[in-house]
Amino acid sequence: MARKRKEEPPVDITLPITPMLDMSFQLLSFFILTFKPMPTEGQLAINLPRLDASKTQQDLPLHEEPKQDEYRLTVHAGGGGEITNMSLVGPTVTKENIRTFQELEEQLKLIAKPAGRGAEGVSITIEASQDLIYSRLIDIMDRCKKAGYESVNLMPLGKERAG
Amino acid sequence: MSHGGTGSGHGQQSAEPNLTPLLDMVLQLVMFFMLVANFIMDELSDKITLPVASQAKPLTAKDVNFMYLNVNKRGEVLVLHQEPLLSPESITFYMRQAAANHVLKERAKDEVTVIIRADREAKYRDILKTILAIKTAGFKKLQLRAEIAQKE
Repeated sequence: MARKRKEEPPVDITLPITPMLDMSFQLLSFFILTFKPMPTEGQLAINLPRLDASKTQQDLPLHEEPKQDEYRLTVHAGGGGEITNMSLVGPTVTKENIRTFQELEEQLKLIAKPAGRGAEGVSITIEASQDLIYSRLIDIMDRCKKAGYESVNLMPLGKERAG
Repeated sequence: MSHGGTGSGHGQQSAEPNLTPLLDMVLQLVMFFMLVANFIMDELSDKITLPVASQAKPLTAKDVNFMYLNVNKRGEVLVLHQEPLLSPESITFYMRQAAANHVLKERAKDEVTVIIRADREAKYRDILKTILAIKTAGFKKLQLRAEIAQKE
């Protein structure tokens, strides 16, 4: 004789969302608190210097004549590392006492004009005082690149090389 | 999900808010922050404040072989799990080791671009010292890193 099974009431399954929401809020607060937008970084290409660390810096002549299509930008810095004076010497330009970046930009534009060519193939060698701070060096390099000079070399200042 | 209360008794109702859309939104926000979070990369030191340059060019998909050297404001080269490098000889030695351990092996010195991340207050003498040490180690390509200036 079949026994009739007693019907059970349907079970209401509820997913506990509250702990999950708590955890999500904690994760959210962690990421919001640690979020720091990173500045976009980029590179400025330079040529390797002719100097070599294995040799002494006196190996280079103190008054080396610039090569054809090479311009030498001499940068003097004061004790605080700021630029005090700049001079630009090359086949078509000789300019002493450049004191502002605006003057430097004008001179860099002048270089290419006499030969009626662009800045391609012309190289700029920056001879800077070793006290110069890096951000000023980048400012100068930035101006050179802006004027179209892709070939930029770095050197220490002639008299510092000797001393 | 239960929506609203199931009345039991005489007119007594329990108001249960619907949490699902809230959870969805929070999880989406969590995902967003996880994706944009800057996990500290081994080679990029956050102790360095870079100078700003408008002509700095970001890395492209073609630039695959590069390595970083971080130089702090005191002119020390920061290296992971090691004491900061000070002398040109120690920098050269480190770079030679890095080239030897690189996947490109012999070709590393010719093909790997060394990117110097120097602090904006570092002195030119320290940058030059590092550059000369890199050259002595035999590397051929070099770039200086800066923060790209935002165009106004």
